[in-house]
Amino acid sequence: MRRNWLRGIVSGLSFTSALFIFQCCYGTPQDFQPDLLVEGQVKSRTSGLPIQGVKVSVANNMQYEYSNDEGKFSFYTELFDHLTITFEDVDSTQNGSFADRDTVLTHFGDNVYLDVEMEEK
Amino acid sequence: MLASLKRIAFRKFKEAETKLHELNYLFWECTTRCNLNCLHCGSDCFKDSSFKDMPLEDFLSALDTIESPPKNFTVVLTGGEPLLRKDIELCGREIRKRGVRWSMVSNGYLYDEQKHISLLNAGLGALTISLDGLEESHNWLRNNKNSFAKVDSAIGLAASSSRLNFDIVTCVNKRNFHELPEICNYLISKKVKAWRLFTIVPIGRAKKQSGFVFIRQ
Repeated sequence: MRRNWLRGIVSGLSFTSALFIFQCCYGTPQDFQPDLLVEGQVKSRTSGLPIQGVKVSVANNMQYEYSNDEGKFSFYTELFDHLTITFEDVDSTQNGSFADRDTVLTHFGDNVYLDVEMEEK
Repeated sequence: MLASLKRIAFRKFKEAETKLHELNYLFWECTTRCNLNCLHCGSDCFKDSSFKDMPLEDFLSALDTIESPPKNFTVVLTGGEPLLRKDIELCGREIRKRGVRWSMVSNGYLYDEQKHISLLNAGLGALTISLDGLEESHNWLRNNKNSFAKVDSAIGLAASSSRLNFDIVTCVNKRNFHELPEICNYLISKKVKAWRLFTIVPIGRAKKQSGFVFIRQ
């Protein structure tokens, strides 16, 4: 504990943190940014069966994923104070016809699991 | 006075870090295949490598032997061109499942919007893209007339993401040396926040090329 504390002080004084972050000429920056793993499953409220092909996206963000044949989805996304996850039926009637819905996340750690039910139109 | 203090602090910090010798980066050359044929390639990759890519399971077996990796430990996927692996997202997800961050070095040629999104979904946290000049000099060194257009698009996508810790690396050589200020302006216009420069190491294909290496004159 004391060692880490001292290490931080000395590295700060020497302004060398950046040097050690970008220490390799061939490499990448390190990633210190917190993010969130969003996982879950989409089901029909009426039948309870999983829905494939639902577009699961993060509002104000270009990320999205489609639910698989088990209705499951999983993706990492940037961590904010709150996140709006949108569920959209985008494949017309191919896997049934469901009303879109949003889920707002406000309290989470580094992962969250969502059981989502969608209403049939 | 401040300069002396910095020097002393730097020396102490370097000594301590050397003694600690933390594993901060693990580079995985996940393929030796490449879609470009760069004149300065240090790893001498080929479009059709006779060497098969290391199976993901083999790499994970090696990764799993690392006990208690440091907090900032990162697996860097390199190549060849990592995006030639069809299971690149699966590789990333499996690394993240183990509580380890991952990043990637790419030439940007295959980095389109769909790939950008699928890699972010798989937990990509840092990315480095190679840019070796403005259009003419980049395409010359990369040995491909479409290379600049592709990397330009990739840079735009990566720089637009607030999630990615993203930077550009440039191999400085005699041909692009004089256009560095213009490259800098270009990168600023693309909203790139970090740029690393290095000179070419005469290994791999680069050792067969003359005119790359700077000689003190």
